[in-house]
Amino acid sequence: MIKVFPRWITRVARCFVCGALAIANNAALADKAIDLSGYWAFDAARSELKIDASALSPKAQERLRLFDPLKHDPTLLCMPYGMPRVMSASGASPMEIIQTDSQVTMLFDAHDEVRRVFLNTAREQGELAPLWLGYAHGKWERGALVVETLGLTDQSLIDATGVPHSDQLRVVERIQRIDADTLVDEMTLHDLAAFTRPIIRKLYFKRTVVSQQREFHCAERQWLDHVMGRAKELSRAIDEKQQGSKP
Amino acid sequence: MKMRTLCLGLLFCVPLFAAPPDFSGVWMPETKRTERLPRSLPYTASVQAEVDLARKTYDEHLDDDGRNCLPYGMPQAMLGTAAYPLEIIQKADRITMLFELHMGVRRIYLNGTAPIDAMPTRMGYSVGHWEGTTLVVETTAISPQSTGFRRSARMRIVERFEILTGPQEPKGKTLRVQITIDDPTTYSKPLTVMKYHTFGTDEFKMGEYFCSEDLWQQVYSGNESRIPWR
Repeated sequence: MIKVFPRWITRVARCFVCGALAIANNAALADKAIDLSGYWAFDAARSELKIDASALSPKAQERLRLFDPLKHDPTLLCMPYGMPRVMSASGASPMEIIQTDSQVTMLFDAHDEVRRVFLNTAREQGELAPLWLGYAHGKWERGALVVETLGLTDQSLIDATGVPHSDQLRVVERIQRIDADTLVDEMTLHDLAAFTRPIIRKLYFKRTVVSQQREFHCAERQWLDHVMGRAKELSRAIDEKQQGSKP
Repeated sequence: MKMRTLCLGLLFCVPLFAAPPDFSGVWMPETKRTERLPRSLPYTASVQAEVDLARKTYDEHLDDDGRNCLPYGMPQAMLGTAAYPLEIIQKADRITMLFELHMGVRRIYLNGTAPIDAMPTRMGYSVGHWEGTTLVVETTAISPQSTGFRRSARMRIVERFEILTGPQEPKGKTLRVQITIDDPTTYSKPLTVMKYHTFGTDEFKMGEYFCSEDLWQQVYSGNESRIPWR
């Protein structure tokens, strides 16, 4: 072969073969799903969540200044955390990830939030009505789940301090396992109306074991008070009836 | 003779080793064939007296879990026929049911038994196993704190999930669930209903349901921190 073709031709051919192999190798890695399933407890101590005030636009700074956590936080009225706050709010109870070929589902028991990452259908910004958890599309990329979330309502907050965002918010996440028991979510928040530059946060989660999922319903406390009140009313009525029927 | 025994034996084994059907996807309650519980339920004598009294003062706006922004637990979550989809995610060791109504989540464990000290919850503790192509689920540890459906801590629910296929089924596929509610403290005999679901993963999309949304919108519209973005 070397004798038949000049040396430069074999070199070029070799380059093409190597290139093709590299592309094929990359493609194989890109397609490979990793197992994220299980219960994951948010590791607040290790996570990098700080948002620099200079990253907020003047309007966002004004909103933040007017924000009253005892009046304006949606969760006070049993509304959900929404995206992206839900990802860093699951401290008390872990999030559960269920994974299939077409969907990665994240369950948060606080406010009964369910987040679906669709692996097949992508949507455009503005295509959907604003939602609290938005529309999330994911793909496997070099050992990580890369998720883009759009269609978010501007009524939710970035965190409990009240950092706001507009409905133009686009959340890009790179979720991967750095070891068997640690999950990392590198999150970038893009919002031209609320931020002067993309905000980068790094969320850590530790694997945990849950033998029985507890239920948390925001309105339960109030409901229990109501039910107890009704039970007392009822037992009083029964007592009165029994006393009334006695001679 | 030996051959015949072998053949018969094999025939009996077929349903036992049949691959479990796939319940995954989005389903919608089918109202046409779904049975309702009778209006007057066979309460035991002591419970009947309580029910009669409670009925006089029952206020559907105040005394219903759902209207108080609480998700319906078992059995109402399964009995309900309102047009809210149900998503089923099936894995080898667990089946997860996601109800759009109140964003209820139900977990059915396919390996093992319910722990003796299971904490009572609205959805209860569900354990399932396959009987051929039928999924049989037993639910216990259902918390008795909901008033919409009378129950005691002794309530035990057995469900039999089956997939019906054929041209007579809408969209060719139906999920049929036989629900049997047994609670000797509350009911003098077990209650049984048949529930049907139509398949429609491409057609029905799971939406968001946050019960206090209306209340929040009223508050939010008067929120002074909400300066417009544009």
